[in-house]
Amino acid sequence: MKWSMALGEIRMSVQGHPRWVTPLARAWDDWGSDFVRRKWTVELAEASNLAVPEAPLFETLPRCQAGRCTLEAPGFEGYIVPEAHTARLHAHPAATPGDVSYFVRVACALQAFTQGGLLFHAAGIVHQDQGYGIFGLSGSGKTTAAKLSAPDPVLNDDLVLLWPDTDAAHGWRIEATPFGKRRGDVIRAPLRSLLWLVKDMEIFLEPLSRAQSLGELIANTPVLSSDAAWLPQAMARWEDVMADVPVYALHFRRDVSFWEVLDGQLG
Amino acid sequence: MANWDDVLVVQPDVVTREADGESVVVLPTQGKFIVLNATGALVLQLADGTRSLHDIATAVAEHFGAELDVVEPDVLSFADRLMHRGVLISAKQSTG
Repeated sequence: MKWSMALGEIRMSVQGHPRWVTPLARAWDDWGSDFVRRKWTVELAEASNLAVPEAPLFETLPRCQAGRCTLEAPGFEGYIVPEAHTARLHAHPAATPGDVSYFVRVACALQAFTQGGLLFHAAGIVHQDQGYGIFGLSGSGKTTAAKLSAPDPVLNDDLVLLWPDTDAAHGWRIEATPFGKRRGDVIRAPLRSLLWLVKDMEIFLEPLSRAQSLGELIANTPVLSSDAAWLPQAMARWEDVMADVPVYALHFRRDVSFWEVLDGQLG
Repeated sequence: MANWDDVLVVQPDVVTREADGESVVVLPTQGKFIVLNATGALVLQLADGTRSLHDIATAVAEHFGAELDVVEPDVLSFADRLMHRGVLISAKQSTG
């Protein structure tokens, strides 16, 4: 079975056993597409000779060397070659759609990066037609911030894409992905600010040093943050973003009044 | 515990980048990062596998016009913390 999707600038076809591809096509139906320009191919091959998986594939970090990224764990042998627009996962038949979904997300992260963008571990919220990327440690309140922001559109509460905004002289845009929960039909917005969540009893914005901002942003960059081969380029990409988009620490108490603070200070 | 005659070097997987006088030090295998101030960044820069910690402390003292007696304990303690976090390793360990 073969299924294609368009995700921002990403064009990808996924082919393999319907047991793996059908759940993806259903879950990510909004991104299904017949458009095939600049397409990557992700092949999913059953490999009964591999050991039975011992853990979900998402516990395995990709390792990249000489332009080739590998994911290897009991039950899985995967590789991604960004330059060749190719990814292939050999997986034991017991592998789940969740394992396959993770492999596709890794391929998406690399495709986005090679095409000038970034996959970003953040909640993307659109407020007054401006996009905000809210990020932080696990449990810092990204999902809560997204829920509290209703009825503002949520591009995604976990993973979003950033792209240079080709419609503007400078700046970036933030885009929806299927890799988490969404609210509303908005799929992209100009990126107004990146907000690093800090749990607090008060709500206020605090400037972050460039070094602290860079560290926190890199720490929330899936795939690229875990590999020394990609890190220098990824840090340079984030510096490009930071040149156009302000980064703040948002001291955050769990109520919706944080938007009043943001509106007051960011306009 | 670090010693004065230890010759240290930055662990090969560690990636560093300067930003407005500070340094971001990313440890990809741990999924962590640390931010160093200008003094810390200088120590890291000097830990190139050729200088002992004593040499580094001397260089730092000269750079900042400080007394060596004051700088030495700080450099030793700082190097110890960076070794503990896997940022710095022995140069002997690095060459295998």
